[in-house]
Amino acid sequence: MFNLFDIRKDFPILQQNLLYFDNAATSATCINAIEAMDHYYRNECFNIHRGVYSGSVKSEQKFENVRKKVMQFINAPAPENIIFTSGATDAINMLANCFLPSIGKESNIIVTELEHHSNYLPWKRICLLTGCTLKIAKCNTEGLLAQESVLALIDKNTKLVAISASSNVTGIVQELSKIIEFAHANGAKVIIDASQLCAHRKLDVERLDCDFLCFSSHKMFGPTGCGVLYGKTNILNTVLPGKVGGGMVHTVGSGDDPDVWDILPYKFESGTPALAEVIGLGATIDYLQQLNYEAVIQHEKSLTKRLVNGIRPISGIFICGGISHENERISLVSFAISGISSYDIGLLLSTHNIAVRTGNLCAQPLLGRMGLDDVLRVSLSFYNTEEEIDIFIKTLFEIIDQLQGIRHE
Amino acid sequence: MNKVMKKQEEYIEIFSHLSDEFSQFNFLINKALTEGGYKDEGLRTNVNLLKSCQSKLWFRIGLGTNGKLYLNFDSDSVILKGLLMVIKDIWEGATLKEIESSSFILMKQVMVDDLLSTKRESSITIIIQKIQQVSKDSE
Repeated sequence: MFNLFDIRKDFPILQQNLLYFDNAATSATCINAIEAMDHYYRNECFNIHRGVYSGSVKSEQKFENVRKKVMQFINAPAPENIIFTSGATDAINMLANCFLPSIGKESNIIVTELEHHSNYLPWKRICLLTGCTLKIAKCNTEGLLAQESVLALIDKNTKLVAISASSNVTGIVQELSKIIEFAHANGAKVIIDASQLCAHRKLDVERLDCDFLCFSSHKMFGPTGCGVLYGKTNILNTVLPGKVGGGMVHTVGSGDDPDVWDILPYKFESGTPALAEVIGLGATIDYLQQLNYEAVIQHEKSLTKRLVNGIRPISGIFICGGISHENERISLVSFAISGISSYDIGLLLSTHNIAVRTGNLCAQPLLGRMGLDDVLRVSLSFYNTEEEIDIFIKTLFEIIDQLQGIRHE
Repeated sequence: MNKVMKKQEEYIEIFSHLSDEFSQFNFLINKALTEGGYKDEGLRTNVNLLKSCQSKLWFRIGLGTNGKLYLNFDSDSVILKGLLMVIKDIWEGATLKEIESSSFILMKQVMVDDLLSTKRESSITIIIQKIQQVSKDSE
């Protein structure tokens, strides 16, 4: 077990009078990250790569050391497989640009209805630009995606399969192994959006055998403005950079002559990186590595079960992804209540200092499939407590009565 | 002071006695539940829809044959509907001259403004622009 009282001290924002249940949007930043960034700005704020003075060299060493930490964190083979981005959205857009020149009209790209708009719109845009076909794997009306519905779409013309490791609406952990295997058998590449999974499960790109994987630092207790794109070496070497500029080119060709790109991973990191944020991410990984992951997962599962059991009796409730124990779920539950606006509930919860997220959660295709316009999402983390869940459930019932005009004298 | 501005002053006075966000939302909920039940057949259609990522809002705004403004609103959100009932109360029956000489000052002066997201506020802004457009269209 771990000591929740001590753990909560590591997250300054939790010291406020606030029940924070919006972790899937942005998790609380751990003190290690805050202090590392503060230290960087106060003492080591020097640009990297071409500085010939000791401060720059030291900053670069620190920066590159984070790359190694990320490599170990996701079990990647080498630091060159780790590209720093400004977040998952940036990573996917960049990747889409990388593939743009190699996608023709005969090709197809597969996405799923589960996807956050950030792993949907970049691919839709590429299809519109190239004339290639966008195939969309359908979920069922509960919001669940069967592997078979993706497998059925893969053929010899499939260039890419873009899929989330866990939905930001249902929280269900997606089965990926067969999809990756079958995509590879057909010559397609697979990109995994691990934005939601990264804060809840250990990532292992070698075991997954995915071609690309991305996530954002701010969803796993690190700073905003920083993310990671993992890519396999052979593919990264063959695709063109998705962004060009300073710091990523070896030789600029004269006139129309071809440019010679820098080696991996610098070929994909144009401009000055988010140095402080990357260093903050490194400190975050140090923090996460000393946690007992098994205890974390068990605690989050227990919280989620308590939450689901508490809200299940609500009349007219629809829990996205259902409540079957067969489906593994991260600590995230979205729901809609018939006849009551999620937005209203969210606003009223905020008056009780309870922070949740409402709306379409940037997942309109999935909400459309479930026949919903908006939902309320409660996303928990390992620093949340059973007491917080109980307060939330009690408050939620009171708010439902309030919105239905039921008065308790 | 014209009727529109006078009504806004009245609401600012009401909201000033509602000391926290909870009381203000409660006021809006009660307003929606007690005054929002009127029927406007055909209001809830796509042509009248203002869609945001948070909640749907349907509206009909125009000038009646009597030369006065009419406004009908509906929303899935009770709180938003309450706010729209306030706007309806302020502007309904306004003449073109009153529309031209009025600005919307209520939102900036009440606490509920802090809790309504920028996107929702922009929906309210669009509604106010539609009201002002009625006046411009008649020129």
